[in-house]
Amino acid sequence: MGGREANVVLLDENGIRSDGRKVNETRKVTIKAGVLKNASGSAYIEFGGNKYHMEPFSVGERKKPAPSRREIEISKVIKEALEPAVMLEKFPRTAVDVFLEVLQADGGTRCAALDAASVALADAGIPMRDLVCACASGKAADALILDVNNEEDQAGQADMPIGYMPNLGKITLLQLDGVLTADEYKKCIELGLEGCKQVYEIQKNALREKYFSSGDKD
Amino acid sequence: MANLSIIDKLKRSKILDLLQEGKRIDDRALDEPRPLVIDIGVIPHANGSARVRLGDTEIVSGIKIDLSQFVLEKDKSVIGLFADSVVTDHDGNLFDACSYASVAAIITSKIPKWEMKDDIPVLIENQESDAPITTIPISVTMGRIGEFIIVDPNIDEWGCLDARITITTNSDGNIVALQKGGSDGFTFEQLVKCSELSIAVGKKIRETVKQATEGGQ
Repeated sequence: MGGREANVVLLDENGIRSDGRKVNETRKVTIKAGVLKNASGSAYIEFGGNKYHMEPFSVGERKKPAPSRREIEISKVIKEALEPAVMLEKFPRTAVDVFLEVLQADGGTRCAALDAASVALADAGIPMRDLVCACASGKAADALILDVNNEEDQAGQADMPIGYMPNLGKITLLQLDGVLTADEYKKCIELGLEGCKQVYEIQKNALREKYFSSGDKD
Repeated sequence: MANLSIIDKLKRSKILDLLQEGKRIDDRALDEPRPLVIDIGVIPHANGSARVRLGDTEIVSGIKIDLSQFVLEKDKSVIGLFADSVVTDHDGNLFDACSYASVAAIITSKIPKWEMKDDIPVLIENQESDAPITTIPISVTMGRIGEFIIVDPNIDEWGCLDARITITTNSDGNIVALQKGGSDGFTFEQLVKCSELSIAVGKKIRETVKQATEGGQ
């Protein structure tokens, strides 16, 4: 973040980003609810057109199975981002476990994880006040951008993940890595919230798809 | 918020009642941090150190620059700088207290000089230099209780916050770090207000840090 030299052009003269997106465009988001048979609820999410192959132990880099500092931090912020949405008072003396597995990372993992967790909780039939949708905004090549990818995260100027409950208008996750002026900060949140709302529609569709698919599919 | 004890619930309702009158439990204004006292050079064996008292929260921070962590190459040196903070008294808002202690310790730390001689790093005595500091980042932690935003919550307030946010600004007044915590959220308007508070309060605290660290160790 910040100081690292960019070898790639993050934004060309036409305002198009390195992966062909406009500044206010998210990557293609795919969410599927209810993908696991033996969990109370589950969801699968893809941010971006990355091909996903499940080939454990055949990947080039292997991570240690114990949670790293980063994973502990992400767990904490995701827990705190979900908590206000879940009606915990309906579950006295009960633990609700949410397991998140990042199969492939290309920036924005905490947002994608939060999006999937929220759909999985809804899929499990857990009473919720709202869905939590998340999307990152940030700054690269002096422009404010939506849904920061890994390249932009590494060589860009700022990355700001946002978690949002759209019906309650509450921001439940907010972090910033990088430098923004007070004005950019405001605009960056607004841009991120736009992305959140787009993701929210996809989340709703994923749940509709599972529970009402016979009626809605064309 | 879900696991408040009876005492906490009573405390919360008292704190909320006071906030409705525009008051806080320790008579501060809503946007007023506790008095900040910074002593530097409290651990002479460290490369830099500071003791910070933020109200009754006390932190001691020490900076150690370890030779084994040095990478010395021609035209390129990487230094490992460790800031360890110890909480000696906890009266709420460890985020800011630890942040101020580390910043004060880093600003006043002296970087020892090493040179490569026959591929072995050798310490050059009495040739310490100042740490290359370009900006002073100041964190300001704010809490939300009900609809009220308070700056630098003390331990009583800390126990009944709905949500917390820490915003760090640099010497240019830009926002350089931010993290929301706590088990509830903020509205967009509240977040904008928090950024304004962080810039305004941070400016005053930066002056305190500057004064306390002037002249180095």
